[in-house]
Amino acid sequence: MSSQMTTLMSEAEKLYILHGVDSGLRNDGRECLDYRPIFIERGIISSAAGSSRIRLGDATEVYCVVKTELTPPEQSTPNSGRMEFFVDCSALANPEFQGRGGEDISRELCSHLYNAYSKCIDFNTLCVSEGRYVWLLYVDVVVVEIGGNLLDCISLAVFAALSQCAIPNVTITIDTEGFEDIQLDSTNTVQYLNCNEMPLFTTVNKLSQQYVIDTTSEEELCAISRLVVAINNNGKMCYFRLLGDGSVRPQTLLDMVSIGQTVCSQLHEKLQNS
Amino acid sequence: MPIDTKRNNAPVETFSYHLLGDINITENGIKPKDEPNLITGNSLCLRPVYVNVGVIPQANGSAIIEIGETKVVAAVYGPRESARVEDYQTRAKLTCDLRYAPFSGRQHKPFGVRSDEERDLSSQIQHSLSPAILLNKYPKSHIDIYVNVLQDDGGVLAAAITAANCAVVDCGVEMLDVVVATTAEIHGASIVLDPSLSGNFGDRADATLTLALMPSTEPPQITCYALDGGCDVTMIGDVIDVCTEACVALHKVVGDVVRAGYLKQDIGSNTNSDQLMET
Repeated sequence: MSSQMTTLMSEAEKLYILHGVDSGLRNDGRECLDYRPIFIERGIISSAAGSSRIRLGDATEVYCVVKTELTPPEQSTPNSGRMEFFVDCSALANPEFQGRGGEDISRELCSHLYNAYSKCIDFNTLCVSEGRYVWLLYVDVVVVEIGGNLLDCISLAVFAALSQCAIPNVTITIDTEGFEDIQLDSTNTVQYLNCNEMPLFTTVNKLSQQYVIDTTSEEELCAISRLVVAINNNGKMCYFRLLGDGSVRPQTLLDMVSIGQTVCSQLHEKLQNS
Repeated sequence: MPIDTKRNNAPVETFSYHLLGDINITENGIKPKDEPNLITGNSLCLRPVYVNVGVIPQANGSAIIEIGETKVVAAVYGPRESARVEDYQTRAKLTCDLRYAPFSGRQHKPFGVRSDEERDLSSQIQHSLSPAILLNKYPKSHIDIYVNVLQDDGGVLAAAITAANCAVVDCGVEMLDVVVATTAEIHGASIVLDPSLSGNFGDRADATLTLALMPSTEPPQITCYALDGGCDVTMIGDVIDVCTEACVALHKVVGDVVRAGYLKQDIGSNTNSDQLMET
């Protein structure tokens, strides 16, 4: 992330982590490509269309809630629905985020989510009446605790909430005078989004000569550069960003892409089975 | 009436005539654009490039780049002393601010709060240039880069990175190499290098990649890699190769211009002018 929280670390601590990673050892005993245990809870907010709570290990916790509302579409895309993301880095996670303190990190995270989802999802399925009404999904994320790897955690939460998201079917009738009448469909059915289209993010960090997944906040500070990869269950890679103030060789980049792809597809598989 | 910049104004409900059809307005009237070509093979030409430095004499460094119809101007002010004692750092602080001019796109952009896209691009430019600039040579100072997009015809991020870099070199700040960037689009199995929005390819790419490189080392160092959209993993290596070759060609052009700009300057006007760049 561009604006790191102030986790203070001495050079000696950084060296300790880097030397450890070079030998394949991490501070908490994991392998370089291991995730911390992930706890997923769905359906925590009954008034929402979809919701989830994700806890990554003991350190990062995120809530995500999806609400759906009807709205007129944008003029340039009259039969496409929309998604609006908002990440609230709340003061629960860090007192520095009070008020507008967490805005920079929040914007950056929203931008990753928005850019990836806008390329993956077929928004035409969210159209109710072309040119008149479409579904707008408000995806709101609240960050409760930050212990590293925030983007991956948020993407898991958004995926879990959207996969559970139930959108009621509505019909719109227009009478002879041109008035619109919106009613719930008489069949009382709901539609679900296509989970196979939704991406999951994986951040591949380069620490010294090794590639590390699911970094803690301390490990994040030691990374030369990070590659964010978003892949959906169909295997379509929808979003890459090289972050951080370091540069990489092309071969390193390709290695990071392939690691990101492998890890992300494993994550999708585990989510499908859970 | 002038816009009230102190308030959040109501959303603008105007739309451009471009929504009514893909047309060009010429002196002889309205001319419909040709149908977008179907992409069959690869298209690997860079658009014509014009680079110049020192275009804003009042700034410490400046550059303008025109890639096809995309026009971007960059100015650098710095290294300047940090005013606050709390900002003490052993490295210079690099900030970048990109703005789209209101007339830059097909639709008029109201002036006011920075949009998310501008912030995103600003931070990407900053991340692309940080590895190349020797920030630890300028402690307790900050270097501010301001980029203005005058016309957006595709490849804005790449043009902005290259322009910002030329401006920093023009400023005399020490750097490892000149960073250049190019854009490529993936349409199915074909790669289109340096696409333009108004060109004949339509704007329905599967994926768009912006790659920024420091070509002087072997292998070159990648400082920015931003890919939006879906593509096959097998295409990624090919696209990187295509962009790398284009960047190397662009690097030669940009290097010549920047060196010529340096040699034209008086020795006394710039304290770092004795540190010419060796490529």
